[in-house]
Amino acid sequence: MLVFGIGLGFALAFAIGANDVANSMATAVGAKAITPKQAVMIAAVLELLGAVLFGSHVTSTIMKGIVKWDYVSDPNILLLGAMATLISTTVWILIATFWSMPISTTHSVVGGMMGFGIVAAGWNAVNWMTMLRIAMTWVISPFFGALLSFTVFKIISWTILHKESPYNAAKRYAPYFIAATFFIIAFLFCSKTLHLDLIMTIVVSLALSAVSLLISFKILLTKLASKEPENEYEEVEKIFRKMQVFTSCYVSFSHGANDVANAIGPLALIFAVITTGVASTSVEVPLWILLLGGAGIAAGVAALGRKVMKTIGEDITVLNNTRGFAIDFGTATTVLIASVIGVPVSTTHTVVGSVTGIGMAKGTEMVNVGVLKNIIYSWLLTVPLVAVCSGALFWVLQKIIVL
Amino acid sequence: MMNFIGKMFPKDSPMKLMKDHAELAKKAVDFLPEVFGKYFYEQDISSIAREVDQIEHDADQIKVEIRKSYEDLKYSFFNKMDILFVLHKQDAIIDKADDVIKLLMMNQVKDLDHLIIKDIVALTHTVVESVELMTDSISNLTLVAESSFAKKEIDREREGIDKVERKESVTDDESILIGKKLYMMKEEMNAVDILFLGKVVRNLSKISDRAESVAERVRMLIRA
Repeated sequence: MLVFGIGLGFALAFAIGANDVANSMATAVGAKAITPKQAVMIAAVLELLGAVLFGSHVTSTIMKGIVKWDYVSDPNILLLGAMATLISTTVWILIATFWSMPISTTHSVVGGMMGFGIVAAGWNAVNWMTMLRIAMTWVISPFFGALLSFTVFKIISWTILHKESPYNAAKRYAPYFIAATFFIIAFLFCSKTLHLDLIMTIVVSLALSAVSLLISFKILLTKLASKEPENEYEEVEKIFRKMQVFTSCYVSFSHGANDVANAIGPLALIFAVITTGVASTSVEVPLWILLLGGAGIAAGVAALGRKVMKTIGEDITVLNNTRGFAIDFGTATTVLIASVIGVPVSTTHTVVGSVTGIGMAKGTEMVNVGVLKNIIYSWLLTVPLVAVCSGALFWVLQKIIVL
Repeated sequence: MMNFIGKMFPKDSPMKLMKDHAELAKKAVDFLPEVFGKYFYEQDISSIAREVDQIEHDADQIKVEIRKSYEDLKYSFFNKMDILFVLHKQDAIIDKADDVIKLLMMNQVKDLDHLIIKDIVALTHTVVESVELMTDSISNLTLVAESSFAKKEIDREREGIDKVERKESVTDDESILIGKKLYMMKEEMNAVDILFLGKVVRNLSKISDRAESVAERVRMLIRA
């Protein structure tokens, strides 16, 4: 059962790597900050790193937060439920991939867990408060992504693009954006993963961001100082193209932190039941499962991601790097914050929100309304559909498998 | 493959398409000095007419793409109705250039006073310059957007618009002067030829009028 679960968990992580990662890094590839090949290399390393360093929070939510374990006391039921969730989620993602539907693996796996919980022990077995919190963040995360990208782009406009010499302003202010990113990552890592106290967290984060600030200044002032650009905006975009390499790493890292749980949440549940023999919520997510999920995503990216990213990159021809940077920053920060508070959100939907934010800030030419509509349909459809499939599959498994 | 981030963006930038369309308008008008040069030397201009027809066809295709983009998509740098108005006026420039060439193919004026010829050729050059300035103004819209509507780029765009308007005014003066000269020759020239050339000159000046209409609407675009 564990081997089957590992196989399915890895397959799901592989699918996430092949599809989700491409969408989450699409703007960096589209804005020509990185090539599809570089995106694959970045994703292979940083998805794994994000999964290992921050992945346990969301995995715990999927594993223990959706179905109340005290209502489903029989460990065999939990095992079958986790299997039903994994199978129905994988099948649904395959169908969605085939039909190019904008569904979220996060929504699918949450729906799957909910469906089996209801069939196994009734409506009360589902932790509706957690479900409400998760569902709210599905709406909030694209809005938050939009707000952040809108704000970041406006700051870039005021501090750089609107200046008499945008190129000189970029050299002066761009390092602060890098420093801010480092501060956020360090702050969340120190407080939520290393569990340092607030003072220590602030000291370490400030120190790290100061170092990144100095290094960025050094690079920008020495390498670019002698240039006298013909088109200052093009030069600003070139600076942000380099910075977007960094934010694309940030997106990849955040994606790994949040989305690894979709693949390994049910697997962690299977592992917990098999190793302890009882339904216990005290079991922590083991590192090897996080590594397995991260490796699955990395394998998916390596095997199929390049082709997908190439296609998406070719579709995006109108995005430049200042806008791409703001989109990536908005997305990655939203997803990373969701990860540390243990809420599974859709990275791709957050990207859509961030792109919309840039559209609203008149940063990018246009945004397709059809995509936004499809995402709302996805919110309404995916959870009930996968819940029904998972519940039905659980019911069938329960009838045919006697554990 | 769930490639829906890519689908959020238009396949081609509508602003780039607008620029391409303006370039085609300029390309069509650029033929006019050559057309008049050949016309006054009584040479065949049908090959140029065919080239302008082709430009008209290419411009129509771009026009369809731009309209489709604006139908399907939501956020744009500039007001959609204003952009479509600009597109319509740019298209009208190509149509008018085509009209002038077709008009010249209908009637050959012979033994025209060389001073009138010189004035008409000078007018075609002024018309070409006005459309060139209009094309620059459309190209600069991309820079305005790239700069996230920076004041200095908007001011630069306004200066460009002023230049188009001034050039249109020069075109008006030149065409009126030519008209006056033509009517002053009513005793020596064939009356039909006078009316014909008057119509040609009015059509030429309308090209500049349309370039000015584009520029005026661009002024509204950047004000919004």
